[in-house]
Amino acid sequence: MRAFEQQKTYVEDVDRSMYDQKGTMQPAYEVQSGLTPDIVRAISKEKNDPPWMLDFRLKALETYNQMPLPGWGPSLDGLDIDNIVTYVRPNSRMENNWEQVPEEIKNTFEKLGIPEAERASLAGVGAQYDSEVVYHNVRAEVEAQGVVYTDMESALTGPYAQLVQEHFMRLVPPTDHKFAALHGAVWSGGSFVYVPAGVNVSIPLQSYFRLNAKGAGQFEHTLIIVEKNASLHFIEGCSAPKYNVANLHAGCVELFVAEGARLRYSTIENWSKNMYNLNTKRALVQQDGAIEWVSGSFGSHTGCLYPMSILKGENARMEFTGITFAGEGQHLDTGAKVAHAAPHTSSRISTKSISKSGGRSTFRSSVTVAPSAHGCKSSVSCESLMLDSLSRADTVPVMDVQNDDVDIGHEAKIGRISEQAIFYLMSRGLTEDDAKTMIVSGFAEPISKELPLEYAVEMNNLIRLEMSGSIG
Amino acid sequence: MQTNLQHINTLPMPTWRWLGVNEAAFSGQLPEMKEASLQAPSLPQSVTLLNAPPTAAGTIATGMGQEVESFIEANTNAGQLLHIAPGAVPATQLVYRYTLTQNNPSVVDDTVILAEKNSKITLVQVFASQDASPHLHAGRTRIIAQEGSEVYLVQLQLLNGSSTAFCSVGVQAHKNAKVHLTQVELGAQHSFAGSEATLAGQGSHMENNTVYLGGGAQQLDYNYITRHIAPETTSNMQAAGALFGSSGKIYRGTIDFVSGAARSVGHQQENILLFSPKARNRTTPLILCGEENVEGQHAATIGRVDEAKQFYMQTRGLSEDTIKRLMVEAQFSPILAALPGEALQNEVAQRLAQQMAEM
Repeated sequence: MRAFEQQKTYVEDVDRSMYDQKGTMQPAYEVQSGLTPDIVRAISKEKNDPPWMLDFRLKALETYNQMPLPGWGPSLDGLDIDNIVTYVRPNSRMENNWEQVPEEIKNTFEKLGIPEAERASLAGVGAQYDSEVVYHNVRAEVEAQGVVYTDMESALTGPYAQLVQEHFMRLVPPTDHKFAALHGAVWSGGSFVYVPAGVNVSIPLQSYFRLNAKGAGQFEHTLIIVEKNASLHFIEGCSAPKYNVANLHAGCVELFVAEGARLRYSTIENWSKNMYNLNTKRALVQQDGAIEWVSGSFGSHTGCLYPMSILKGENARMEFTGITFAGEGQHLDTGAKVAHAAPHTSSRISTKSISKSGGRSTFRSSVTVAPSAHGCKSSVSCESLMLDSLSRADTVPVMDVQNDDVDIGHEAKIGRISEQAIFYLMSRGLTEDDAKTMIVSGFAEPISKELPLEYAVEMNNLIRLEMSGSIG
Repeated sequence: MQTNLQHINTLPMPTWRWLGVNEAAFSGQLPEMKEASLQAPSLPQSVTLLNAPPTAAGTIATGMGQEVESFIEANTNAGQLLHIAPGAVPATQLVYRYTLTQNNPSVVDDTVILAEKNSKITLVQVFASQDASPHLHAGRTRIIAQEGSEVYLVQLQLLNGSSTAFCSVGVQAHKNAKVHLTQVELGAQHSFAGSEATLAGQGSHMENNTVYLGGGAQQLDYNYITRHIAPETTSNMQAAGALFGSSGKIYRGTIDFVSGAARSVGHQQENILLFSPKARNRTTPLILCGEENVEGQHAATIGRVDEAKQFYMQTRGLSEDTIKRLMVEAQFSPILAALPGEALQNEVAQRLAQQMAEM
């Protein structure tokens, strides 16, 4: 044993009551648990779907029933769809004024800091509670630019109905995988965003998803269209209180980035540790367009999350910056996919992961280059930090290149916190715990600096919460 | 004979099916089994032949998987069970040269190398076609490297373009043992190779080098796994390749740190030069880690010859073909320069030049 090695000690987890508060308000309506055509029809009726959407849902259900579970990735043995309630309508309408939102729901979002963030730094906010959006608002000056930010249900039947129908689940069809099919059958809530050509939305829009009901699922759909030479920063956050039964999140995000447009999509995922997070996100980027993903994954019992970018137009580019923190009882399988489908496209994937207390972090990626995609560049970098030998860190990247005029690089590192770095900080007066927290925060810094300040602060707080659970 | 093998070179941790890298399959006609044509070396006194594989050999898995191993077991027509005495350090390398012809179209060899404590051995296996008829090499080599031993195994696959090659190696390395495996894959229409090394003893080391060249419609498929079980084990996995024509290649390289392998270090690197827009390269470098106190790194670079370098050489009067040959030789040289003995290096260089001339 080296001179400065320490005995491992354990301290109680820090209080997470901000995230773990459970709402007691009875829902207005919920379907039975399980998944049948009658349940899907009931959801569609509750939501006053247009006829095409009911047909869509039922076809998606058929697809779901025919598809097998994936033969790779984390175990989904603990997820029994027969025990999941797929639709829970809270006792609230959608409001655009927080004072109109029922007190208990409003207080939940107040404690999560959403109204405050809206006042301080957001152009618009959508807040979803269980299966429905309870608050949606956009600043008048943003609306005046022609920006549309509304809930999906309104978008389905309003002036943008045709646009929505043309884009809904075209990028992520129900046939993509079993949980995309599930989403197609029972989706509810989410946001529609439309940014007209040439409009720069200089302040972010944010959607926050709160799943309160025990044993329920949340299946929100986010559809964003950023037209030619426009730009937008969209932030999503999520959380849920912890129960001793499984909850399921199978949302879907579809992003259409037109020629010369730029979209930054930031996510801080903080689901409770009984959640199965099987989310699907995909972006289609046209000529000279850019998609930037910033992703922090801290919650869920089991997570499968691989935002995919299809670089369809010449010179399109993608950047993905992500961090994953897998603690006790968690298996977070995260990463990114990029398809270079046009010449002179470029991508950069940079991820960090931390595993502790038996947590399991898997980095999974794919970089594909189509035969017609000459002049492409891609670099993938993955660093994994393990804080103890109870945990696991695995990297499973794949590169599939079908053109010789490319420049593709990949690197990955796995290791522990440098003992020399800890020794140095302790020699400067820090405790071992503080030294390790500082090093881990520094490890995460390239990601946190990409977030707006409030969210960087939240991410750093989450790191401190996780790190304070153990020393070692 | 029609042969169907469905599970070859299986990736230790599967990923998305649509990428087509989780495993390989082979279905096709293979030459009939006849006697193998072998030029075997004289064995020094310290190297003897065993009557049966040692019990430990039965516990060694090889990189290409059980289905290939079963095929080899059922069709063996060659192979050696070599025992290297404790402390033995034979002065010369042992070269086994198999020549494949129309009359001797198949070599299915099952070889075991048991290197006793503190012994050191260099073994070269050459599989070369002498005519254009279809040939088969299917080989399993299992290496038991006891404490302090060093085993250098070089496998040269020089089959013609209508042949099939399966080259599977398994290694069990004990305390402070070192195993160096170099596989040079320059031929065959279907070239499969793999190794699985278990670093079971403290301080053991595995060096795994692969050189491959794909042209025409060749299909290359490789799977290398190093499992660090004991503490203070080290491994280095290097691959250098070049793809021409409409060849396709899948390379899987896995470093697996099992809990208990504290203070172990594993590195993996693959560099690929692409010379054709129709060639397809798939690379899957995995690191699996259940032990905190390790260092694992991997890297891959994929692309064509740097344009600036190419321009410079052209201004010096070099033809495009010469430039390609030089760049490929430079890409391969770190691995080929480490081949034991100048004669072997020259043989490989000549064969490489011949292959390049046909690309």
